[in-house]
Amino acid sequence: MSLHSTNGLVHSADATAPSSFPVATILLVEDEPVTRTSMAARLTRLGHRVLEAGNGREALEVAGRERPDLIIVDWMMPEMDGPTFCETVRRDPAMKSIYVLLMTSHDQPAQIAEGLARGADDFLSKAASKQEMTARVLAGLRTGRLVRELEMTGAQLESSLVLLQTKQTEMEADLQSAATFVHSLLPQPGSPAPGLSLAWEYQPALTLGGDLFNVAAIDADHLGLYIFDASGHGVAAALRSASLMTFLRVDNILREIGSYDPEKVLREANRQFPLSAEGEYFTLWVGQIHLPTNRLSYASAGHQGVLLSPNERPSRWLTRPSSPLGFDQEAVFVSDQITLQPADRLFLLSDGIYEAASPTGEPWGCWRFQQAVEAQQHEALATTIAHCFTEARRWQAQREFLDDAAVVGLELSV
Amino acid sequence: MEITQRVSKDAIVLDVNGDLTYSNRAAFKTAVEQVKSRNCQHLIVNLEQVRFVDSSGLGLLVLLSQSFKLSQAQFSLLKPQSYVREIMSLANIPKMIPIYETEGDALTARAA
Amino acid sequence: MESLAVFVLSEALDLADGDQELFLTLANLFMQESPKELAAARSALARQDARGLAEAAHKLKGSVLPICAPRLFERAQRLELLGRQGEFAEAASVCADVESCLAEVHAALRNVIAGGFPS
Repeated sequence: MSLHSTNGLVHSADATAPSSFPVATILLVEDEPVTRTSMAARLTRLGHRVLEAGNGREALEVAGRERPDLIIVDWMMPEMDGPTFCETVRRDPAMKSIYVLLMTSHDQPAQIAEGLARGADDFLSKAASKQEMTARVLAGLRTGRLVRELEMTGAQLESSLVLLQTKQTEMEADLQSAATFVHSLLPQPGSPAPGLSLAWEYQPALTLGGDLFNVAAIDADHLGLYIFDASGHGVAAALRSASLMTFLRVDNILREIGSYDPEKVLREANRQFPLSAEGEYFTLWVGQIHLPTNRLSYASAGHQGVLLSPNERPSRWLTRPSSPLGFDQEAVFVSDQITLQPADRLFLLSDGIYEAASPTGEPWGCWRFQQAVEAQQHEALATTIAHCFTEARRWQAQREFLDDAAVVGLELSV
Repeated sequence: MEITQRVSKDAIVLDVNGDLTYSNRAAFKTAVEQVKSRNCQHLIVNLEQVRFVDSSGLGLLVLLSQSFKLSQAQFSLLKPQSYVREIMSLANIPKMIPIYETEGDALTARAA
Repeated sequence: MESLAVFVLSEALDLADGDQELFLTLANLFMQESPKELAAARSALARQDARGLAEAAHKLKGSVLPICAPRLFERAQRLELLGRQGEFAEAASVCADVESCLAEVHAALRNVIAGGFPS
């Protein structure tokens, strides 16, 4: 508000306030009746609603009841003086932010300092011109309004925060139950088929992971196995993953395709899971073991693949370059076959484990994983997997993985 | 990650410095949108200073290649480091996106 | 000191924002209240109560401001100061000044109340 319009207010003989300025309630505390009457008349003329009190106690009662926008209080009063009144107001949570003008004939710096220290916001000389008084009152009202707005915003922020925390708790509970469901779909460690043992370790970055795997019997002669990595992170990726996992369920694949032939599974998955608008996709490795012959056929859609670690011989990756799901509708996926030997180990792993980055940003890498596995050939399968996690954690120098980390081990009995 | 944009003959080159990963995807998308808004006919993403591309980064490159294909414009990659090249090869990227060793090759390929 | 005016009607009216009715209200209030403060000052002086004297003089001084009576204001201010300092001997003489000044102001106000405002 400009000084010009402030002057306009002063000259307004109308007791109603101009519409641009809401009516403010001002409490005037002054024991001397002539001065009080004179000032009350002037404030009323400015368009304010004026409450009067002849002493500090009366004023506290009125202020508590009416919550004025501004209090003008005389310094020198019997019983309770102005500074004591200010202190009392500042101690009351409901009144502490009311703007208080201390009225005085004192203008020595020491007294002004005392008044400020005891809670006054500004000073008003009893001999002040009407222009000065108007300006100080308007400034006080403006400041008071800002303070109230800030307090209101603060209160709103606080209640929004509470709401947000409640929502977050709800969402975490939802995620947790989704995670429980997804994890119930993960295979039981132990023996998925005669002559085979299974162990795995899984550290999802969220409670709900995006990189998932399974090992499940297809029929009496076949065991199916897969692992996939979801690009992207977070809840959206995890939900897409749950949907791919549902697609890959044995009963669904047999219904839709008729067999768990890896290249056919990939072809159909490639059709059903296109690149998302955000550029998110899956890499998938699918294998099928013919149990009577230990013949493994497998195919990969852009997945790093599976490490075959034969007993006493170097390990090698079972993969070939291929398009991840959804990159290319015309993509061709080709199955490869090998015959597994007794004591062979297969390791299915997610990118979260080999991309675990050192503090300088270097990924742990597939070849270090390979080294860790080979060094552990004579340890129990679960021990070897635990060792890989230990090494990856040591490499990244922290316990939590930034992406889902999974290592699944399958071992043929001797 | 730092991305600088420059014009090289008929192409716009994005020199990327840093990792092309999930956490940097917003910056990369912004830079690409700017190029697209200039109705660019050939975009070359220079990966010489990129040490690491994760699966999200790869997804962005493929998305970009598909969108350039749709608008019949050219999209090329330049000088990926060996680790990045390995990741891209595994995902068959070289079959979808032309990869060049020199800027000159990339520019000539477009002209041809 | 004698050069200070007893009462300046134009300034007093100006202080009341030109509101004659308000001024008359203030004048009546002053005529009703000021004798009480004078009596309080006298009684404090009689029992050598420095603080009581200063407070009564302060209140009187305050009530003079809206009325615009410079000579009375100056005397009341002096009396307040002497009260604060406990200078009772000089205070007695100044208190007498205050009383005569107050009488002059009352007379002037009565004139205005009775005779109305000069046009």
